[in-house]
Amino acid sequence: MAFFDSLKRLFGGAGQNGRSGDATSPVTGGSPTASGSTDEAAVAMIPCEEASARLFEYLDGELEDVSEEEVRRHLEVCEACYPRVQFEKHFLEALRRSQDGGRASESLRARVLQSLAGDEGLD
Amino acid sequence: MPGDRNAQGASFSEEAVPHMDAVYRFALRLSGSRDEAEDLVQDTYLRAFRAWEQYSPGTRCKSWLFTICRNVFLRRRERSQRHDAILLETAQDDPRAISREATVFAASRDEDPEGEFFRSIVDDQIFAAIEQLPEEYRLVVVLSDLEDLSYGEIAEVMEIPVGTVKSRLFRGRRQLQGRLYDYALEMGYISEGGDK
Repeated sequence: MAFFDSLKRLFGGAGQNGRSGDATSPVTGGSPTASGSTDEAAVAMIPCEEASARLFEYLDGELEDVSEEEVRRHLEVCEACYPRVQFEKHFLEALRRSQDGGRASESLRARVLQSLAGDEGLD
Repeated sequence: MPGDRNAQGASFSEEAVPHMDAVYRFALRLSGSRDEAEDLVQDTYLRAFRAWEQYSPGTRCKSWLFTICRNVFLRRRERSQRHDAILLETAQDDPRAISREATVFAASRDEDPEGEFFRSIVDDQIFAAIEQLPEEYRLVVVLSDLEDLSYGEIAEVMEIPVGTVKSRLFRGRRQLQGRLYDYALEMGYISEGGDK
């Protein structure tokens, strides 16, 4: 049942009014409340501002509390928030991609290992 | 005992040494100088090895090394008498960045609502933009977004509450977006939006 509820939420919440691009508008236009599902109503109850304020925690995998499930659900289905979620994802991907450069040189490795060996540390 | 010492050396080699690239990157972000970063890495590993018995298996070795590295850096900085000056400098935000930070998503919304322009920005430019962030923001951004530490781990490394980690990360990312957006405008990856 949970699986079907998720499908209903996804299709009901993400395909109705097109992207408004307004990340601060309440989720009413695209909300599926007319169908009367409790889960769907819960999604519709959270304003975009509230969900948006937790967006980084959502993307960082730091939304752990059960009570925060509503935030997660909102961001997964809300059309208005979709561009904002993608925007932050592309930003974070660019940062992660940029980290590949910095590596400790071979001379630094040798120097560190030598100092540890001198400290009776490593072979 | 020699046997214990050998076992200690072996486990240190296995668990701590593989993080040297990450420690070096962090040291570079802290100090802004390759020479100083190399000295920091050496001191960090020496101290870590001497304290290896205090390391609790199960905790993340990388964040433990970062904590030591930061402490070594702070002690050195204190010694060099620059501590107060740098704190003062980093406590002040760049007003241009602040005015920009809240508007990047809105500014690019018409032309590029999903931030595709971030993909066009070269790594060197991202590195430079991170370098320009105030220190308090720069370090949490580096630890979170480049080194993949959790909020809790960053809080331990930086000795600040998790709530402060969240707010610094938020402000740091927003400032960074402002700087990258300016760069994207200069390079023509995106044009100035009308919605500002």
